[in-house]
Amino acid sequence: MSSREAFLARVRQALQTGGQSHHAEAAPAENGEIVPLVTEGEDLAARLQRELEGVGGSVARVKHVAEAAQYVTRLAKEKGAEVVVRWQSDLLDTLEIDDALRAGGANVHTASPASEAEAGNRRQEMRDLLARADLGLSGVDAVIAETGTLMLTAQPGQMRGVSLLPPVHIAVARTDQVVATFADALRAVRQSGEDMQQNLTSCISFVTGPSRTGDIELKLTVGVHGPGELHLVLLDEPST
Amino acid sequence: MHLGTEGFQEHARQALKDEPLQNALHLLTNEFVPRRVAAMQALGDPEALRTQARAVKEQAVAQLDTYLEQFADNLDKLGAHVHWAHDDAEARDIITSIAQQAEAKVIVKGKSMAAEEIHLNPHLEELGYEVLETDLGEYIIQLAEETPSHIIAPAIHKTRQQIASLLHDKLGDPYTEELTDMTQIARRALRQQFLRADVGITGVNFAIADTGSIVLVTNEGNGRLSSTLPRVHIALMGMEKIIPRLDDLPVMLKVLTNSATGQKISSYVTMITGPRRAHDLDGPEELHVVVMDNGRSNILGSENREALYCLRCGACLNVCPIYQNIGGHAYGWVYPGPIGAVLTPLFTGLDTAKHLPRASTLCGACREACPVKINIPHMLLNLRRQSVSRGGAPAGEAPLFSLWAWVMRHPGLYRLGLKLARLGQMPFARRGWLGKLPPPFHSWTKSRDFKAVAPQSFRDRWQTTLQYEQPSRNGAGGGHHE
Ligand code: SF4
Repeated sequence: MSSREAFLARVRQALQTGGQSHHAEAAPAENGEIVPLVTEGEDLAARLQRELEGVGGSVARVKHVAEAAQYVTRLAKEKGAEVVVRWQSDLLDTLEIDDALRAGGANVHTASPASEAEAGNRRQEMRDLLARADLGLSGVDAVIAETGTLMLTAQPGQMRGVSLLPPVHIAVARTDQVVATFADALRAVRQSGEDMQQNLTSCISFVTGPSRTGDIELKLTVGVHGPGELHLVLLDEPST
Repeated sequence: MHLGTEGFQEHARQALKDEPLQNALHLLTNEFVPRRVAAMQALGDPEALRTQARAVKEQAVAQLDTYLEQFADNLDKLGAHVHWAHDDAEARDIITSIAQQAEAKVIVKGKSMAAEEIHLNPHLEELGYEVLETDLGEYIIQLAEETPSHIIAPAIHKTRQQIASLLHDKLGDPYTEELTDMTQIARRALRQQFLRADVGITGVNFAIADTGSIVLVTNEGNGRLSSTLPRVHIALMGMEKIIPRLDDLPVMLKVLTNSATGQKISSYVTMITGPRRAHDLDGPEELHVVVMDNGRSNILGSENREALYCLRCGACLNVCPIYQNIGGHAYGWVYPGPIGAVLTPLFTGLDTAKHLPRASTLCGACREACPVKINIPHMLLNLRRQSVSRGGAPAGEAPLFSLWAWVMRHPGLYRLGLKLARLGQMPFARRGWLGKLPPPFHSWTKSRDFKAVAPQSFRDRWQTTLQYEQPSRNGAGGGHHE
């Protein structure tokens, strides 16, 4: 195996021999700012809806928590969901949805973090549940209007598999979580704390529509590995 | 199946006769090219974006040592393991020993050109591991025991019927040509494997120096599954995948997905910053990042440094008139198309791959399509020059070109030559083209036509008519460029 030093020494050597003939036309943009796809003053929620629907996601705009809860329960019923796994998050808690889902015949499991001693068992348990879950229910950390993209970090309670393993993924977001661009979403992450590595969590998934493939004759097909359905419930008025 | 680069001319000839392949290539040209063009237009100022993206890669590569160190230090802080592989053998050994330590039996793989580059699968399989490709296209290719023919659409050379039979034969599911059903068959088969797998291997699209994050760009979600479910995640990257800052990601992502598939963003962009943390309920316990040189430092130190800016988006393949006709396999190594014609000789040596830099009309479509404006034609010329200076040109070529140069310097002789050629070509010319030249010029027309000498030379036309014509004002007749 090469040592780091030997490896880097070769790189340095090469950098010295290979004189670069052309110069950069420009320096990289300061804060990653590039021509945004959204225009000044555009209705971000409307744009988000258009973009996400354009890639095969569905968007439901709702006015209050009760309506959001109803929507989710109805969808779960329609899909005949028996096992539901959800994030633990304040927004989902305010929906008070577990009882409604249970009344509809589903088992609901919350990915709440476990103490260190129990984490091992808990992981196995959640994994087994997710392997047979019919529906994953999550919140979001931000939603990006210009591309219709959900940003999902791995904060405590926000298990990655919830938005990945079940065939149907429902995400609930508040309209004040909608940002214009990808760069804006990253900025929000940056502002959440001092330590950037901490803020980034172990994994951020940017999800835009259902899982898709064009690998057979370039024809679009959904649901190959990730969820075949993605529903975003956009809540206009956060409850106080 | 390893075709080898020496047989390029023969493989190209076979490819031209392969009907399913020709249909598939047609599809590719008709689908991907307009999609990319439309998508880039929709970006508002695609030119500015390309300039930005190139600037990022130039900066990254110009200070690659610094950024690699920063990247590795950040990974250390996160508790991830960084490995340095000088060549393909080292990379394979590193990965094997990680798999051994993990006591792995089943290994799932996300799409990775770097893994193809080091022939990882056959190696791991020989050692007794069960290795599964999980990208649908790659999975199909693996079931068929073939190699990918396109960077982005690896199974583009197979028809739906061929794939349907394959799934039926190999997985035992009832035969179906319904795309949705075929996809679900693959989903079920692969999901079982994901849940069994001990190790997940993926490539890396971007490695961010200032945070130690790696970014995977996929549409299917197999990259997410491979980096989430198995206990150990190994990410294999060419050392040029580095970008300096997290802030560079928005622009790089945008040009990558737009150029690759014409999407504003792909379905899944996964940014991994270290292994799972204490509170996480999923994600890998161990994260290993293998940084691979494998010839890249040679390229870095050469006149072809900009080959390292390549994002592997595949856009140059789709617009290339040669690729459009012969597909990916004819190139004989993992990277096909225009960039493959540059990378293959750079990685595997010019002696065995000397035909590749010649397999180009130098039309420049690749350069125009490239999201980081890589001057591929220029590098092809560099390589041709090198190949000739090392005696790679066919015997007889040099004297012929000397003769040509000498005639060109003697106008009287040149005009006489033209006249003779005009007479001589009469029995052979078809619609202004010559399919076969007589010896000693015959090898030129073995794989291409030769433009016949025009009935009247430009010089004559100028003297008799052209100079008296009014210049046209409406610019009619000019081709319209995108
Ligand atoms: S050379 Fe440019 S166009 Fe071709 S694959 Fe690389 S980045 Fe894409």
